[in-house]
Amino acid sequence: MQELTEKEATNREVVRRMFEVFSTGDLAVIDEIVDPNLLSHNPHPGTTNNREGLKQQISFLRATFPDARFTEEDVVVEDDKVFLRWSMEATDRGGYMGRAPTGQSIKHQGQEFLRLKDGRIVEHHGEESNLEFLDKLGARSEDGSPGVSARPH
Amino acid sequence: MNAVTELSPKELVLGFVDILQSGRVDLVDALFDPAFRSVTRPLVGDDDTREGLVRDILALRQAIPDAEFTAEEVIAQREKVYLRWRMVGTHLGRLLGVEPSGARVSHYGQELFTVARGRIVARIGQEDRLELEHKLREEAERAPSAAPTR
Repeated sequence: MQELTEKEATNREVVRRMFEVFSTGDLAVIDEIVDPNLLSHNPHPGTTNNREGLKQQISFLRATFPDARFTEEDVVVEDDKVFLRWSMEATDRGGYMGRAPTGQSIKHQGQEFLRLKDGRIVEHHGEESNLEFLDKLGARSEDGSPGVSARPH
Repeated sequence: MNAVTELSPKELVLGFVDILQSGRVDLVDALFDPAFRSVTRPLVGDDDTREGLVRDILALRQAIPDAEFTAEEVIAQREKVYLRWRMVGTHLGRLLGVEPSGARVSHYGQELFTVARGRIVARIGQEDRLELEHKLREEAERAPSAAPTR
C-alpha cells in the first residue's frame, strides 16, 4: 500500500479540517488553514473567488441547510494536491438563493480539487452536479435556466 | 486490442483522454474493464457500461467533431486517479437537446477513476452540464444561421 509522505498527510488533514467547517460553521478555522489570497476558479454564485468568498459560501450553505450532514466519499492525495469527493444530506430550511424554503430533504454531491502551499490551501477547483441539485429543489425553470437569482442572501 | 495493459493507473486515464481526443473507441476495451461502471451521467441514454461509454464518446465526437481535450491535472493515489480536463471545439451536431450552432465552445470537468486488474473499473464524473447547455443555447439563439443543415 502506498503510504502518504509527511507532507501529504499534513495536506490531507488540512483538507479534512476545511471540509469539517461545512458541518460546524466554525469560520475561524478557515482563517487558519486557507491562504488569504486563495484563488477559487469556481466560486459559488454570488461569492468572491477568495478566502472571504469561501466563508460566504459556507455561511450561505449553513443558513440554507442548517442540518446539512457531509460525508467524505473519496480522497486522493499527491504531493501538494488533494482531491475530495463528498456527499451531503440536508433539508432546505432557509431557501436556496433567495427562494422560499421548501422543507425538502435532498442528497447532493460534489468534487473539490485543492492545491496547498506551506500547509495552507491556495487554489481551488470545485464542481457540483448543479443541474441535478436545482432539479431536486425544483429551482430550474423549464427553459433550463437556474431560475434563481445569482446572489444568495 | 483486448489484452490487459500494464499501464499505471495514471497512464490508463491519460489514455482515456487520448481516446476522447481521437475518437478511437476501438481502444476502449484495452483501457476499461468489462465490468466497468460509470456514475457520470451519460450524454445519451442511460447505459453505464463500457458500451455506453463508447456511445457517449461517439455522440460527443459527432456533436463536436474537432473537440480538443487537454488533461489539466492528473493526480493518483494507489488505485484512484483524479482528472480535470478541458475541451474546446465547434458545436456542429445536436448536443444536450440543443441544435448545432457552429459556435466554438469550451467546457471542463472533473472525474475520479478507479483501477483494478490493470484496467479502469469505475468512473465518477462531475461537470456542469447546466453551464454547457446554457452556453450552447445562447450560441444557438445568437447565430442560428451558422448551424449546418445535417
